[in-house]
Amino acid sequence: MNTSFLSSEAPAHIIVFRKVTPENVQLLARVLDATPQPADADVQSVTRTVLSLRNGVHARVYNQLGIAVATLTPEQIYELRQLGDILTITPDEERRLPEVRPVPVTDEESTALQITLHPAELLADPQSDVVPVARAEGTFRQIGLDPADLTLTGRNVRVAVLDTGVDLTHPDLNVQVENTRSFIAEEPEIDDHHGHGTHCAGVIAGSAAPVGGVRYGVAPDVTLFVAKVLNKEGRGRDSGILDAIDWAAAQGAEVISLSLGSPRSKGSSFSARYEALASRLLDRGVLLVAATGNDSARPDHISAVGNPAACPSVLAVTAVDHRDRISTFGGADVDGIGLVDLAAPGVGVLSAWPGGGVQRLSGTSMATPHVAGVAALYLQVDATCTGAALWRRLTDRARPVAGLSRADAGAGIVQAP
Amino acid sequence: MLVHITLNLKEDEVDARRESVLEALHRAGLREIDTKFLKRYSLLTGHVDRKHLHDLERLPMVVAVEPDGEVVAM
Repeated sequence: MNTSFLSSEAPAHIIVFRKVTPENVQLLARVLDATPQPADADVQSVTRTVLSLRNGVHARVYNQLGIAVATLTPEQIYELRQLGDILTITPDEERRLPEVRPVPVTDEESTALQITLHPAELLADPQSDVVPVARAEGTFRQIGLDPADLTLTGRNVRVAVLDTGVDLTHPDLNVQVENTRSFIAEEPEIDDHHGHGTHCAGVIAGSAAPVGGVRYGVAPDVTLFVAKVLNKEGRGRDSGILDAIDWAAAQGAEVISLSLGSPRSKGSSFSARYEALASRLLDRGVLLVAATGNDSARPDHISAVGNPAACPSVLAVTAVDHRDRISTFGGADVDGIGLVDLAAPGVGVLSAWPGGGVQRLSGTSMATPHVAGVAALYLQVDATCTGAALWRRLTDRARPVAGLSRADAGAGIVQAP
Repeated sequence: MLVHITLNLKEDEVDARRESVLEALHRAGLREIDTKFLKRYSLLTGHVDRKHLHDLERLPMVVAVEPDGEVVAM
């Protein structure tokens, strides 16, 4: 029997036994109803025992380390803890490169993704000192936002973006340096050496009159706070993010946009620490909005909503394409633990890019700032509608779409006031 | 290892139970305890040896012990 394929599996849990003993193999085999594989030069050694399960799933026990890897159901986790001398069982949280997905788009395709305003719409407010735009992204139509309405811009609302920093010199952005802070020790400046943060900031607060002529910013007049919590490779630590959330709340941010996270295996718990923070902040009128993750590959595979989006007190956002279809990559409710609350445009999204230009990217990261921007518009209309009330307003007024399931897209596509 | 500990404490209970909770955590093996988020969010950060993880998890006021993990852009 060729069992070499077993070693390339990626089980979902890591089990740490208290003692290094041969009984660990027997215990796991009993709980999983599995059979230890016979010794084989390819996969079996004195240091590792492979268990073969009837259902085709496999597990491995590292005999000299007192560690095993396996995919467990919640019932099996409970049984292991009851029967065995287990130190911890934790999800095998895969680490990976940031998934920034540049989308090559021709000029013709790009034009098709935009909407053009009629002259009457351009004259919405003759008294305004803001130059009206002639074109806007088609995403505005999807989220029910009239780009010619220059009274609805998020003015006097404070929104925070926690990401890779921001290009402070970008002509389409107006971010004050005193409203920024880096939580990355090796990158103390707010400058964005990755691009992801500038893009997310642009979706929320890109100018109503951008240099390129095509508006993409949902709430151009918000007061934007930017925290750098991810380094130039797009990676950060939970500890820095917790610090930054607290900082943003202290600055008076009423919406905090988190286009970041870590994968969560199906059936494993949401993060207790993020839930503790988010629930307290929600009570205080601060809404955390987070991306569900990009690990699905529809139709073949659908991933669970990652953390912190999986927390009940964090509003989880997935991505749809420009035709209101669910993205191939967005995380979904696959276990009743990590729910999706809203959807927003997240495929081929145009926004600011370091150096002064624009870029089209895809990801639930791009959908999340759309919701944060729309939340700011609701706050502008009604400053008392904060926290849980704001959450309800966003979900109550979302646009359901035939073909978008609640598991995939929650209440539907976010809609502006 | 650096861990985040979520406690089952209401905001108005923190002051009264602060010392007893910290002492229990210290006895269970938690070191270099950072209490900056204790009052606001019932969260603590500290260092613990792996062999003491279960001792922390068994404390009645502890909801969860989670290692400081990596987060990525999405």
